Amino acid sequence: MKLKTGDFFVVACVILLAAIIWAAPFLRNGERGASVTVECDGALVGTYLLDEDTEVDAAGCRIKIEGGKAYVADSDCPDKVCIKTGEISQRGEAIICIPNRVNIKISGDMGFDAIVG
Amino acid sequence: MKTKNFLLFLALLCVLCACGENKSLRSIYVMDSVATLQIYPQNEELVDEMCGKLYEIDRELSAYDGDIKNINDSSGGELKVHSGHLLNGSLVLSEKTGGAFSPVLGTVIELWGIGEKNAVPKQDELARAMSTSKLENVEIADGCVSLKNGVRLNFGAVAKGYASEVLREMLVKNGVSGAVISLGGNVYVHGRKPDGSGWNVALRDPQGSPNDWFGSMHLTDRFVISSGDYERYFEKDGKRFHHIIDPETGSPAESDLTSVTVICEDGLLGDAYSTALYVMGRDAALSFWRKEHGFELVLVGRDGRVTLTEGIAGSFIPNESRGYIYEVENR
Repeated sequence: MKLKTGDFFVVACVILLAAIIWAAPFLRNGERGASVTVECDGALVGTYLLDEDTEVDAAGCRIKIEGGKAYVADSDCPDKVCIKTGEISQRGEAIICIPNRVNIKISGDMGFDAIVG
Repeated sequence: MKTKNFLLFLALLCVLCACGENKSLRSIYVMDSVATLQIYPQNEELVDEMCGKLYEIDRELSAYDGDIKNINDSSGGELKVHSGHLLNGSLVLSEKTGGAFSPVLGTVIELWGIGEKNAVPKQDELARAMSTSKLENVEIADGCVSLKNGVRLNFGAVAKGYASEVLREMLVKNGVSGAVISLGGNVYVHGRKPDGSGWNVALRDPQGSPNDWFGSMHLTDRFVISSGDYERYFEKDGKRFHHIIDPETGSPAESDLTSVTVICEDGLLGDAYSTALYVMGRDAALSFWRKEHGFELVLVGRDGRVTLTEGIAGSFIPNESRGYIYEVENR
């Protein structure tokens, strides 16, 4: 059976779609983080837009999102590492409260496979 | 298969490959930290097994609610697989570092309670705790350990390094082509990425937040393990009391370094050395590096100097915006 112009068109469209899906995460890198995800003990609490001010309570952490930044305003944990981490706004940045098992992360990655320390 | 169908099949295959990242990624809370396991290609069964292994190691090695607590409270007991390996390995490394790393500081560490009660102990209490914290009070025979004069074991400085070593063996045994294991910031990078390249590992800036980094390295098949005074500490009267105890004084080590990173092929060794070399300080750490082999160092000093040993300097990319002065140490 001979290929018709229409067949080539269908195949080209499918390949183009694959390329877009593959390249999307790379295209997103380099942007300022647009959303922040809050997880508690591995379960999703919610995903919030960084430019919409709000407050989120997760385990013993009170998280504030304001002015395009996210931070832990208050926490009942003993070490307060989460509060001391300060504000996050860039892609891939995170705040972790180990005692409360809360993970707050800006979408995207920092361009590294791991951070040591 | 007809040409047309074959082409369509190929195109759909492209879509499927693009959709699936073909890796397993999981984070769990274990060993008082977050462990993140990333494995290529996807292998959920292996990740389950590795998480199970981490929980098992934690149950055995924790001095707070694990088997080691029971052994400490009973002044001895049977050593299991992990506690046996780790105790024997720790005793060797303690001797090698001239006592700058010690696995028998349990009484002193519990007295300080850094990260929990955060109180400076009284001098007489500390002196009493120090008098018991000696290697000679530990005896191993027939798979059992005996603890004399109130000595207590604590593997906090090396448990994660040991655990990452155990996970490395599982990756090798299962023929995994690429993986990144992070146990509370102790990292092991294994093999290569699907595109054949190595891994990009950043080092946290001890002066900044957990998201600030002062340099990065391209590596493969290496453990990258840091110790510093920024991880766990409390402040009182303007003084920082951190969690790295100097075995000689029983108090937080007064080091001229703020962070020590060891790059090597042995997780337990890397973890013990990062602690010991922090306690030693810059000059003694570099002398130790010249004398011993099989590891490289990145040292951050309080004076703003970052010292890279020659074996790692070539793959290190500094983050100039952090304001450090970078120098290379040759053998």
